Amino acid sequence: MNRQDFPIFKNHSKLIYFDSAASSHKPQSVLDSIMDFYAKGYSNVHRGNYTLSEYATDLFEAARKDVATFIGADHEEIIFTSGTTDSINKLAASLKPLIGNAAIVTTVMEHHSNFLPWQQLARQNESLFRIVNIDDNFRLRLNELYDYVESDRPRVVALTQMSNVTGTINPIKEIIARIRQINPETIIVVDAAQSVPHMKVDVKDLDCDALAFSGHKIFAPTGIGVLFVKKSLLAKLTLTVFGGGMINKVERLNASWANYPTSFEAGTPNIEGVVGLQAAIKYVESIGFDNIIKHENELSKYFVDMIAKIDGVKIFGPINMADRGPVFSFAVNNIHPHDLATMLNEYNIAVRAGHHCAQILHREIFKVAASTRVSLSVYNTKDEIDALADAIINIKNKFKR
Amino acid sequence: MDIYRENLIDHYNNPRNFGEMSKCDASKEVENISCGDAIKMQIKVKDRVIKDIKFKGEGCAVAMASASMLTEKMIGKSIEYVLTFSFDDLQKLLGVELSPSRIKCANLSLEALKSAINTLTAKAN
Repeated sequence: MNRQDFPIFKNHSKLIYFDSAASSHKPQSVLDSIMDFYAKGYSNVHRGNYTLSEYATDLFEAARKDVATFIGADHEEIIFTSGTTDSINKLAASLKPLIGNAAIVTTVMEHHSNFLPWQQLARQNESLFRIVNIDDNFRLRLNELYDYVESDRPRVVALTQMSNVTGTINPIKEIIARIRQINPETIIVVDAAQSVPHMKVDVKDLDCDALAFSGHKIFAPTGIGVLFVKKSLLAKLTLTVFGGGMINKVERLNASWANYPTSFEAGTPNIEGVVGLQAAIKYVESIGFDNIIKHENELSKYFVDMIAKIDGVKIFGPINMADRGPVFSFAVNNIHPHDLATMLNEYNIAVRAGHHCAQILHREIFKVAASTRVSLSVYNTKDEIDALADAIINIKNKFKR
Repeated sequence: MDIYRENLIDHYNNPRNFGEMSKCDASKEVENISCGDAIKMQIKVKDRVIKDIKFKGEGCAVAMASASMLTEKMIGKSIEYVLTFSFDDLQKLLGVELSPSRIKCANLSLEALKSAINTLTAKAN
């Protein structure tokens, strides 16, 4: 469905794009929004006392409201960043004085961008750093997580809503409720980079303290991301990036700051990115998550039916469709992922080969250096999965000894 | 262009000079962290000539075939010849043009071989 909305496929009509978990393609409406903005309404925001700047500022702040509504937040709780990586790094740095040397808990299924900022913060603060493991079904060991929360009294628990490797969707709402029961002081940070394109995410419903996602994985341009932080926590964060636009009064030896979220957005923001993100959200809403989920679940089921049955294929993720997203990492016996990806490219099939920014998961849990990953989106079809299955079988034959 | 010609697959499936020497003059293992490929080269050298090479490792077909072909090519050559052997030369040896994302794979074995020789000359100095 919706393939016709994406101009990339007009220019690459045979392209089978299975790498949306890395970055999605952009619908025409998102491209148009950026063109229109530059052609009809561009200027810097928050500064000029002229019509265009006021127009751009209104547009920018209206987009913030739309983003807030999209995830069930208040617009003051939306900080624009360059992406999930930037969001989490900023948050970790801003939390440093607040959490002191309290323990930090994360999980082995995190993308490096929700792992390294915490690992490094723990090193700087000389605090305990715990990594929750997964079980044989590629699900988080929740008891291990709750045990850490109880015994180590961490100030931060950072975890993903959906793994970019296994596709596992964590029961975030249930996890947060349980953590709050054990220790209400815990700050719970959710990486929603993978989940936001595929399911309705509501920060109030989840009751998380912070949540991050990237625009470019949800049909928006690169270089725009979101950091949601609950108001009660925003007031306690330390500012770490200083410059234009985030101040109230600057004196020789001191300065005071603008209100949040502006105080967290030093420098000219990525205005076109925000405009594009707004258009991307409108695009997602025009399809509706019910339809997206239905389509992607059907494709996922079909993927498992067609690919998992190929002799020598091993999927590193839940086979059961419940609580899993349309991301599949797998191994094919005797064929290195890089060879497989290069050879699939000959069939115009774009897949990802590597550790997908989750080295520990690959090295220690899967016991492989790399895997091949297929991720599905609104523009993928069953025919494309058929083509993939045929291609894998052909490639296997070519490598036969 | 399909880089996986029969010759390359053959070297991957039946690597030449694969294994380990109990005694060698120099040895070096090089790893490509991004994909986990690792190639170890062991060499025997006499009068600045490569007398024998054995390689071991794990990797993609490009990395393994490159190592296999390289060992065949270099046994009997002077160490100067090996040290001046460029990536372009290696590509000619492989008979394929590699895309940027695969250059590292092919180059791993050449890097390991040159490093092994360099440890030898470092020792001599």
